[in-house]
Amino acid sequence: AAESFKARRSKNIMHLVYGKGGDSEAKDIEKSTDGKEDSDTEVEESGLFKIKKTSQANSGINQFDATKHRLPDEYRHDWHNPEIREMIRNRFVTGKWDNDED
Amino acid sequence: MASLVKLEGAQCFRQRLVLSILSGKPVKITKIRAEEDSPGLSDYEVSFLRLMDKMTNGSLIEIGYTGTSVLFRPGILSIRRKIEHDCGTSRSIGYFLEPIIALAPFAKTELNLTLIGITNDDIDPSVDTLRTVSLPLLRRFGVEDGVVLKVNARGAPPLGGGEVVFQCPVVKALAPIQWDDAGMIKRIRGTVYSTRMSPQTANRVVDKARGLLNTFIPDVYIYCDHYKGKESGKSPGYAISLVAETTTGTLYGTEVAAEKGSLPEDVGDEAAKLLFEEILQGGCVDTQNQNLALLFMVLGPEDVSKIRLGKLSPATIDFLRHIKNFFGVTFRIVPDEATDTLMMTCVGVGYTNLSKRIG
Repeated sequence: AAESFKARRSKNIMHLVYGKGGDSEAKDIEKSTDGKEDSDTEVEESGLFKIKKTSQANSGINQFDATKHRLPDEYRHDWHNPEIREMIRNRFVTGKWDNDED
Repeated sequence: MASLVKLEGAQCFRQRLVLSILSGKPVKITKIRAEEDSPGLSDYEVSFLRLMDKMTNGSLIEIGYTGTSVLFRPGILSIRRKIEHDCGTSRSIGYFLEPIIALAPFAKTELNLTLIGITNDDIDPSVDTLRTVSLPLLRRFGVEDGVVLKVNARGAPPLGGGEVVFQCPVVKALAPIQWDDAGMIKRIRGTVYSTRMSPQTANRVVDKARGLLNTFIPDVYIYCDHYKGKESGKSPGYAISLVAETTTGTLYGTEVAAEKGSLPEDVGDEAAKLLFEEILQGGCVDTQNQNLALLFMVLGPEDVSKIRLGKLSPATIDFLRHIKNFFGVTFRIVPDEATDTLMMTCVGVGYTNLSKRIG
């Protein structure tokens, strides 16, 4: 059972990334490129001209091009808390290792 | 003639051009900010196109009348002379240098590029992180001696005025990698640069960062680099970049550039915390260099390459899709439950640089 779960999970990540097949989130990603215009934009008429307003600037297919990814605040940890710091203690050579590692 | 790749939007503009040049496939991008207040290509994207034109021979660039579409037919990566490029001040040098690092090893001749602009900001990777984290990654893939990134002058935003020189040798073919052990962190190094302000500021940043880092490991050395006179650019500023090095050569880099009014203590504290977040991810390369590592795996010989990564950044996910578009390579991604990391496996396309002579 554990094996099949693992296989399924890896498939899910492949779907998330490459966006093919039944995963719902993958579909969302695909849709965001073509279905966008109808849902996200509202048209306001003022005089002669129609002004199109996009609800979110800088999103979808025109995302800001930067590889530097700053982790959003809600995913961050409070590193001043010693208990939180214990999570990565063993990633250092000074940490406590398992007996089999040396 | 290689088939045309059609794409939409302004996202991942640099990735697309880099992949177009490397794969030799022309690319047409439409709907670039078609519905925004300032439609079309922005100045830094045009500047980047110019730089790509300087890097290649025989490229054809057609920008549509409204600026919302671009056709790029890549030429040959051929650099015969020293290139100089003014990056402007809307994006930092890192924006331009990042894709150049991915291209340079495959050129006809050794690259000698001078870039002028902003050296450190909080949007793009700074020249310090590129030098200390990204360039050592090249060595892993067989790009050996002669990779140099020299900072001649610092340039803080908004006015910039910095200057860096990047030299990179060419490579015949890349080496495949099998990299699944991130190792243990054995030391932490860092640089704090400051320019046009009291050198004392840098010390305050270092003190705070070191305080937090020393709770894990005593081997922490952060160098204060104060720039004076001609080398100091046009605006005052300071930034910290930290690198954690592991026993297997994995490098985790983070950086924080000071914004107007930020306290030196906060900058140091933030940098240390971000480094911990990066360490927690547990990949063999840090988040920012995922793209570069994956690209070199794809361009490697027709052999299996394997790497362990932490969480994929949004830019990396886009990049994986683009690799599939341009090279037809799909990665096998297997999550490792025990360590909460991902094992990425792919077979390279066997990219060889025909212009590099053997011997």
